[in-house]
Amino acid sequence: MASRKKVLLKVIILGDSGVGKTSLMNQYVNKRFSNQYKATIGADFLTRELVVDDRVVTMQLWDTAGQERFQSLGVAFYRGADCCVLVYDVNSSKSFEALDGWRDEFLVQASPHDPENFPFVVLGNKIDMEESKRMVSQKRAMTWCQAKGNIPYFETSAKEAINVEQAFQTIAKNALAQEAETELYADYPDPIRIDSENSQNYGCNC
Amino acid sequence: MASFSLHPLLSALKVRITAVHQNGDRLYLGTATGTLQIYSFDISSTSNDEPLPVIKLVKTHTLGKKPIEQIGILKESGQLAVLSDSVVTLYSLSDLGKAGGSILSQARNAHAFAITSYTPSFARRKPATDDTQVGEVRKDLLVVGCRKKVVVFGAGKGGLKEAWELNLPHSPRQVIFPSAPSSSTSSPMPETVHLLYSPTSSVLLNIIPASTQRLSVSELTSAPPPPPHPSQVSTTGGASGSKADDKAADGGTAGGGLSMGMGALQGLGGYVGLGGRAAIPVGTRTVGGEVLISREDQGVFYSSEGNFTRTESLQWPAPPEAIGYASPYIYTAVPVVQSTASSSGNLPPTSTIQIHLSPTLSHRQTISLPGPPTGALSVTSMISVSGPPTTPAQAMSAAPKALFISTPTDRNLVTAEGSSVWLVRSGDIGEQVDELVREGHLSDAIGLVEAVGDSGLAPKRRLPQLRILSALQSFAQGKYQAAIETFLIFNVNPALVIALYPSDNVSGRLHVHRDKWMELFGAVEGARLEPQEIEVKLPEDGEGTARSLLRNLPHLGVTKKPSMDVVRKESRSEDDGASIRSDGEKVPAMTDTELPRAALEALMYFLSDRRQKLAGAIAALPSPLPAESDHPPLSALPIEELHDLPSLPMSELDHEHLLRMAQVIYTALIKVYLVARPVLVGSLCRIENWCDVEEVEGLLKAQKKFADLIDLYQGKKMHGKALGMLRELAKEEDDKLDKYPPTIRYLQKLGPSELPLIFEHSKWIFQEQPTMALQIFTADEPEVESLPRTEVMQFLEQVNLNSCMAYLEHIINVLGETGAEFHDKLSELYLQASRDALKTQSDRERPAEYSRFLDFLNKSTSYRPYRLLNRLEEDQMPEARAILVGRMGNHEEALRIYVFRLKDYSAAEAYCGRLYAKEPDPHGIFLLLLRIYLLPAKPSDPVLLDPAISLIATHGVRLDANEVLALLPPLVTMEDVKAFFVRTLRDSHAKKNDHRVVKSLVSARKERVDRVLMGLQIKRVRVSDQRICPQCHKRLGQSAIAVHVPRGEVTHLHCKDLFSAKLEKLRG
Repeated sequence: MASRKKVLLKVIILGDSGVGKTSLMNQYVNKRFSNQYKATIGADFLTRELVVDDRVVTMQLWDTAGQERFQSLGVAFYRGADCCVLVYDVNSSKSFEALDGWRDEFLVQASPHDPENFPFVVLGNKIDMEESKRMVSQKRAMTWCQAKGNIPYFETSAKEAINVEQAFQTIAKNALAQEAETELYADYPDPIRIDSENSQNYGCNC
Repeated sequence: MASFSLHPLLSALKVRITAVHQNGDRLYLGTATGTLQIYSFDISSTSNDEPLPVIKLVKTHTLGKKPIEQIGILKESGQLAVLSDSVVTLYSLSDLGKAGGSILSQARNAHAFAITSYTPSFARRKPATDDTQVGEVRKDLLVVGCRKKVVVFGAGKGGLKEAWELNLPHSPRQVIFPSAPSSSTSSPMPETVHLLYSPTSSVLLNIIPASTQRLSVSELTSAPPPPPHPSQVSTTGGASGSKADDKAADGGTAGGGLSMGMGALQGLGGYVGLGGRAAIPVGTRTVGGEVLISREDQGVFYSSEGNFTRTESLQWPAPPEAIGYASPYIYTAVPVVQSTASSSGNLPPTSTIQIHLSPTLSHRQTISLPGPPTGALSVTSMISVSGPPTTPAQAMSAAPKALFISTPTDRNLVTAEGSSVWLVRSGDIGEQVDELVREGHLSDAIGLVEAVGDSGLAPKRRLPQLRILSALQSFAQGKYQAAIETFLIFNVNPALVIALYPSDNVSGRLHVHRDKWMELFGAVEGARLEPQEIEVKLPEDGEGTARSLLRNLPHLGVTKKPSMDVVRKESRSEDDGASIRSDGEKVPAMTDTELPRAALEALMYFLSDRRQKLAGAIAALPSPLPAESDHPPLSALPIEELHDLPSLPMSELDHEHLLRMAQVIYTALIKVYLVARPVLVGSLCRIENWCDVEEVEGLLKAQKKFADLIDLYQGKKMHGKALGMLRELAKEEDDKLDKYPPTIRYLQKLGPSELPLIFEHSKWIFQEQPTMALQIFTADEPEVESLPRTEVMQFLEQVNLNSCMAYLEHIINVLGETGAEFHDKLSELYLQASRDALKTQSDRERPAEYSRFLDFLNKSTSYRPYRLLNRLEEDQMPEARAILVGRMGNHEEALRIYVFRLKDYSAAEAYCGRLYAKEPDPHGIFLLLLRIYLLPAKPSDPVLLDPAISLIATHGVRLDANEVLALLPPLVTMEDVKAFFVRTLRDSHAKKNDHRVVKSLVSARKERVDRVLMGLQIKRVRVSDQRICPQCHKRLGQSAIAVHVPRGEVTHLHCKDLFSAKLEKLRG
């Protein structure tokens, strides 16, 4: 574990169509923003190197198509992800309500070893729009994040580059922690005994 | 059976055959006495019923007196090459026997030759228009190995007449051309030829016409040959070369088994008379430029660069006498010494034909030749039979593959019977594939099919199916992930993959026992999951039958007994117990109770991928997937139907198959999660899924995953079940904050379509906790707000009146409902409540319920007063009655109630004030009140002077003074009406002054307007002949014009708007 080998973090960005996933990524990686909307087809990734806790890491940001008809990526796509970023548009209630579904979808598809502690980060994008258009209050978003296990929450604007850098720094940090975690699970020697009593322990006993 | 068989083609020829060659429908045999026999040989007529080709002696030529050692055909020049008496002689094929042959004098002391044909490089450069043209420019190439030199004919421009020589340190005893690389369509001249000196050494001869040296020799790689193929190790009873020596020294102690090896053979050398011949190295070309050369008892594969082409070698029990190759099998004639306990080890070796599968080098079969009564047989000249080109399907069927000659070693027998010519026939390739599958040798089956191509095979025998079965074997061995990857590549039906997992927790009904896996995956019946170990075992009684067979040989042509003229030995041993297991380590296998985590991870991997592909396929469908409820549930389907779902890419499935596939995948996924990732069960239940509820609900309940089960029910619109479950759960809760809200929240999400269900399941909460229950209908949720209010109201009215009231208050006060029925209902409820309150509360204080009722009657305008009035009893609630009659327009009645029944004059005045505020003095409402006060309708009513006077005093200005005066009774003191007069007079003065001011203002305005008009009227514009409209630049002439302020531009009238707009723009 002490090896200082080059770390590659795989981060998946999910969210409804048009909430600004591609824009956020472009702002973070290329420092560019375009008002033009172009639907992402399939998936695409950009990488950026950054320093987290004195370690140089390469973050691989996987942008996905929010549009339903593009959603049939192979199993390899979600596998091995270190962090999942859920994006919604603060001016659209619907995009916020869809977060639940995106989170569930991600968990099912990636089936991480420790789903309860898998790092998610929520970004409420497009805060540059006028206040009167805002549909999801910060409080509502924070409540949701808290209920889902204290997910870090950021309000961002890809257009004005507000909070983008900070948000991705947190993403990288949490992803790095997860990366270290997964190495522990690298092999699974113990078979699961299903005849014995302890199988009940998998359920919630509270 | 699909195995190989050996057929005597020509037996007991009474002469020793020393060479054999087959070319098309001709078979050439060379004898020890220098005679060439030519037979007609038609293999195209052979079939399964008629396994032997028709063979007939056509001609015999005597070419010399010495034995013919080798025969070859130079196809392009039509010549027959014969090696005899250490020289190669060429005879013309067309008039063989008439003209003498031409001796290749440059190649004296010849030992062996090899012939091939090629397309010269100059010819290849020309675009070949058709095959015949290419055929015209092909040339023969003849390489003759002589004593300490090699001679190459036909490589130069001079054709066969030009010979190149190269001196060598040793004498090539065998010459082998590598096969043409499979990639090239034309065949260029081979650049290398293998020259075999001895069973242990050989070199490569390079032919490079362009270079000055032309011929050169290069050594083969000096690395030690690769180790033998493991299956062959077991073939030799686990003995390597040195071990075999030991065994041979032991003599016959290895009872029953086989003992073979170099030592044994060498010891027999003198006896069998093989000493001279054993020194001749043997080899054959295979495919793709590869050559197989025997190195004593090992067969090593070399490329035309002299490197090893494989990581394994072929291992024979003894050095082979002859090797032949017919794709995809290698046929080798090997003398095997059989030593039994009874005989002292001096038995003659039995000649066997060993057959190996070329791609995997696995040993397939050993056929023993029937031994002669005395001595042994020596086998020579193994050649592969080249048949006419056939279709792929025909190529798969049984066909003759190789020919060889056997000659008894016993001198007497040679002269008595002579040599025999044998034919090796392969079985049907498809059946061989089945056989390999049955034995569990999937990699061999794959190698076999790869070598011959699978276009002529049935789908079940093709590569994808074989790869799937091979993956299944890996799965059984615990290589789960690798197996799963293969299943994904070939889109294996998920139901089949799931069936491999234990039934209690993962596969359920889909489960199939390990013994049936192969069958389940479509393998032939009886296929083995674990590969069967092969062990060579010659039957003890083999000799007896073989002998009797040999005795029958001369009569075979007459007595056709198919069962007798086929010599076939089963090489497979029957008892597994004796077999040696090569794989020592045991992988933890999956049992019904133990499930390795890796297996589960692999299944999750598989299902996740399938799920994604499924989502893509469903999204791409032209119409949505049918509802699950339209089809019988998954649990009602017979298992076979699910196992028989097509193994196709998701995008090629139809709606129903997709639906079934989805159900299978999701149901399994949820079960795997329950075992391996319990936390994810919730996520899966919440997202869109096709889980079969019946199959998983028991499991979820057992693991107490009620919340997830409810989510699942909700997703499946099985709300009744979900609500029933919620109620069950609520029974165990004591805290009311845990008891009711889950159900309430659930009901709030249902929406109008599930109204009866909402009603049914909200009743119990209304009975137990009405205030909380009300949230079901009042929550600020779109689903709740869209519920039909009438139905809700009717329901609540039956369940709980207070709740109904609260609901109506909510929709009227908060949501602004104006529907009359709701207002009616609410007022009725209020009325009822007031009535009850009045009954119980006897003191004079007005009960809150009544105040609320009156308040509502006053505020609301949407109720229908007459309906309520009917419900109101005559003597009850006069206040309410007053409001109602007033609302119906009967103000007089209303006022009378206030005045006479209630004697509440301020209320009466307030009533008038409200009405007056709405529509000022419509019918002289105050006057009406005054009349009531002063002119009693009934004589019994008193004249109410005091209230009348206070009325005119306060509301005098709203009364017509004349009417008031007329109404006032004659005897009223000035004092009493003074206030009225003062107010009225002041009011009239004020009004008069007001009017005056207004009048002056109006007249002032009139004057101003007049002045402006005058000013405008004196303005003039001159329209001359020359004046032009600035808008359209045409003359104004006599047209109607418009003058623009303030500069007085003149335009046509129809140009007015455009010009005005222009001016507007200019001025900004």
